[in-house]
Amino acid sequence: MTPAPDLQTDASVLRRWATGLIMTGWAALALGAMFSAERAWGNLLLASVMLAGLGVGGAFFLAFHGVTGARWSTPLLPAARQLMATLPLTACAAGAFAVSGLFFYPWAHGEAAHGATFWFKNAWLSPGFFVGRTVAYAVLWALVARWLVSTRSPAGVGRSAVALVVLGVSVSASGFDWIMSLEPLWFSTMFGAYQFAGLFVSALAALVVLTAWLKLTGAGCADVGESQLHDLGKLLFGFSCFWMYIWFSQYMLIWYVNITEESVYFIRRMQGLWQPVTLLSIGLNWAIPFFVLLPRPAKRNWRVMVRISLVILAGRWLDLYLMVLPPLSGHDPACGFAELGGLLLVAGSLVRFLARVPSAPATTSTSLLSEPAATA
Amino acid sequence: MSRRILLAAFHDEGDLISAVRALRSCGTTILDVYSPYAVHGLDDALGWRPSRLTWACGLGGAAGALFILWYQFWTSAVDWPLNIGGKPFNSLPAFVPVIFEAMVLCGALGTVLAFFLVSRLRPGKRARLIRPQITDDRFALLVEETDATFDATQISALLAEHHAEQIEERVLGNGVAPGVKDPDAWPYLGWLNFGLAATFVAVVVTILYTPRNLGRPNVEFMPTMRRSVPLEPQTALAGLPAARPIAGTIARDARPLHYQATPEDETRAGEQLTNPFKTDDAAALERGRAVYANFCVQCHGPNGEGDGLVPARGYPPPPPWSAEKSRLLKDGTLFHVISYGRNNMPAHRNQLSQEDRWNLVLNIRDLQRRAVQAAEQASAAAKAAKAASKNDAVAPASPAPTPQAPFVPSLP
Repeated sequence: MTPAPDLQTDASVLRRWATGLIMTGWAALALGAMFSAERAWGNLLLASVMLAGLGVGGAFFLAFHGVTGARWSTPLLPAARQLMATLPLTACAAGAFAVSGLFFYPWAHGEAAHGATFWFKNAWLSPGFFVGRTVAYAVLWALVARWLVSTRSPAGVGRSAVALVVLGVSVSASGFDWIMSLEPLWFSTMFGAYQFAGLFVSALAALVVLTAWLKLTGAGCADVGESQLHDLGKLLFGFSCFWMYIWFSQYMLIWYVNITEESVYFIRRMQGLWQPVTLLSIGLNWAIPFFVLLPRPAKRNWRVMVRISLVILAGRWLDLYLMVLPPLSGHDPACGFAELGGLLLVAGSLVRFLARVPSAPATTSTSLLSEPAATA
Repeated sequence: MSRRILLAAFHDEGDLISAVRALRSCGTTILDVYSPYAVHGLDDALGWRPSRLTWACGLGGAAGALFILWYQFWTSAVDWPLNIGGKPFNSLPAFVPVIFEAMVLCGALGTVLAFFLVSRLRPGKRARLIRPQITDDRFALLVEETDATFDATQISALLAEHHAEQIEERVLGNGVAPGVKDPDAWPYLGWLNFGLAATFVAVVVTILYTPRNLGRPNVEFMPTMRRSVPLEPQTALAGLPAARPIAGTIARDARPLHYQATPEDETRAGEQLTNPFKTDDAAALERGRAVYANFCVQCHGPNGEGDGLVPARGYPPPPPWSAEKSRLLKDGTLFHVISYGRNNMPAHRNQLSQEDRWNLVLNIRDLQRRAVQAAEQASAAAKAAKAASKNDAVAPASPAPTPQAPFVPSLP
């Protein structure tokens, strides 16, 4: 990789692209909303949760770095900080769309609001409490992000540990609140871990893309060599398998016990045209990354790593699509203006984010590893 | 031919790596490096190609996963299908956890075995250490003095630059490994390893070649796993209302029979009761056969001749239904016998509904009819054969009378 000769031009081209994608996305969403407001809202929630998840994943990465006292990942910290810097905006967007869901969540309106469930769930899913929690997640994430970079030195063990606890609990709970409550009678104690698995593997993928971009533009991460990429590749491989592990753990228990109120979730997602979508999600999130990243040379190759990261990011969108949309779009998977708009919005935001990065010089980092940066 | 080697020890792994880099950059061949643990970056510095041990791991894992997948399919879908929770016999989700574990296990075992093979580790092998400290806190670097141009002084100076301690030259005889046995090692460790390995092999061989007697029960560890404690159900409810019906009430749909288990009532039932099912009711007969196959065939035998498996093992046999006396019994009497038992036959009124008992009567009549038909055919054939032999005619031999094949359907 050689530094791009004219960064400003590149960035402005990217900016134009990003603006075009985002505008088209909003237009498609508006068009979709005319057909089905529910689906348009669902896609907005999906997009904002995915983008906020990347930022939270960056915070997780920094906190892991601090709590383990790691040295290998020091050159990657600028990229992780950049990823986390999106949090105030994305967390607020996710919170806003979740709150606007009070018009759409089945527990918040209609006869389902008085459905047969037990008192704790009724109390938990009362609109006031829900809004309070949603605001709390957004504020907590923004605060934790601020807190993790408040000093020049990387956050120490204590601060990182506290951040991990806060992030872990809030990510699980936000998954329960924002996504699992779309089907309020269904429940799975595995859902929090499932949220984290998808969130972190996609954040690692975004970290790979971002690091490659920073290196390419010369804006930072110059010390990231093949060894660091190799380690990042191992993490990506490991967390891809972790996602599959958690996904299957949730699936197998429900499949085996086959209790009606539990199995309804997977029956909805494994029958008819939903089944190929579920299989595709497993392929993008696990099968393809598993076999591509298995050989050692693949994990040391920027080109392969960036491409497989894009596959995983696509898989993350599909994974969230399978969580959010089935209860909203009914018997068959819907693919219309709303879905297209949501997808364009995610893609445009990611491109916009990359375009923003070179203009903001990355914080200088002194590498503790004296290894020379070998570029592919 | 003897070999001369240069041996240098290091205290710090960073020094070791930089020394290796320096030596290689001036073209010196490094024979080997000894380290108490894996040093990151040493492989790269030595320029060795990546280990192929990962292939052993991958192949072991794949072989284990595929084997256990096939094995689970074979045991649970082919050889011994068991209905577990109504799942299909061949259920991939149920196999996945075991596949995962077997993959990890076989991958690990494959790696360890390949490592033992490649490094020729075996029970009883004594380590030959180039320096005893390399198992503790020192790293050792070996350079072979290849030819006359080799300048030991220069190399030593280079090594000393990288903080090498104890640089020394050694001369090895042909084929002698460059090391000495560790003087501090426990001398019997090799024998202990050998003994353990020999014991393991002996146990495996004993298990493989011990003749098995399938008729003798095995030794049972934890017998309650196989034989559950026969607790009487509902003993805790004795005397409570749930245990017995409330006085003066009967269960819904109950149709009480006003008979006792006495010979008098048997006759009375024969006079009073008739089978509500008609002889040509195919469904009822089918049901009767199914009930027969589940409740009667054990003693009465497939054709009602009283030759079931239970009498064959010594229990007094029931009379055959083809006998005159049995055929003359009325339907109602048969119903009474099924319901209340007779002689050695236990009562079945608690196991079988009244419909099932009447269906059974239908089947008994059917079996009797078949038995009579078979007997008539046999006697006719015998008569024909006698006539044929008398006339010396070459009449086609009539086929031997074959009794109707027993019909043993299972309960639907």
